[in-house]
Amino acid sequence: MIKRSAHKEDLEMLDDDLIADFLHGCKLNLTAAYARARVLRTEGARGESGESLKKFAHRLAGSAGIYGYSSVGVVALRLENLMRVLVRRRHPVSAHSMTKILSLLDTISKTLGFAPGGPS
Amino acid sequence: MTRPRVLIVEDDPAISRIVEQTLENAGYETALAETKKEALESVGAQLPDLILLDISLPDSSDLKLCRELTHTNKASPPVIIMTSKQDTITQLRGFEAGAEAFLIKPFSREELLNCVGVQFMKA
Repeated sequence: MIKRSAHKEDLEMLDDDLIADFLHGCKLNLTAAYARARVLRTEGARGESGESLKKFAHRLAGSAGIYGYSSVGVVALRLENLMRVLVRRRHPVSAHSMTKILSLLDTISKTLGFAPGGPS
Repeated sequence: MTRPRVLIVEDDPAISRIVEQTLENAGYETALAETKKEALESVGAQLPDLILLDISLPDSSDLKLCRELTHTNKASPPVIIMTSKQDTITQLRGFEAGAEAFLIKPFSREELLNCVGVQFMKA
């Protein structure tokens, strides 16, 4: 039988450290994601920036929930799905799609407690 | 008392760290691998009791590693696949590749512990 540790308080503290690390990682990744999103209009989504943004969204969609940020995971999944479509297309990224991408990034930022437009 | 050993094969540290801590807190011993190469080396060095496997690794995609782990070794431990793919075809292919169960991302810590715990109840 698997026993749970008796040091619950210690474990919760460790959890807080992990969550802080997760948020710090999100902050760095979001800053990079905004920078990548801003060049999509000129570069298109099929380049490195589009792929990186898709990968960022995919990873966040898979990991946010386990840290207690399920709603971030849902928004990240929307961003991932949008990026999948855009990466497949040959057309340049439209102004409408750009607005959508930045809006999804803003929602993620705000939900994680960062400023919209990119964590400072 | 020997703690059950779980090998976590995952290249995203945001996931592997919390999976590792959750399992350690619940009394399991864990080992981490970020690539197919590291996973095979870890299994070769010490056979785990269970493998949690992300099927999208930098040096291995799809189910090749799962097949390698389960079909080439008679004493292979059970493999739980961690993936965001929920479609039936992926799951069928996973079971054909030797997986015992699927843990669909995003999963909660409770789901993780239940999924892992069930495997040890079977054993």
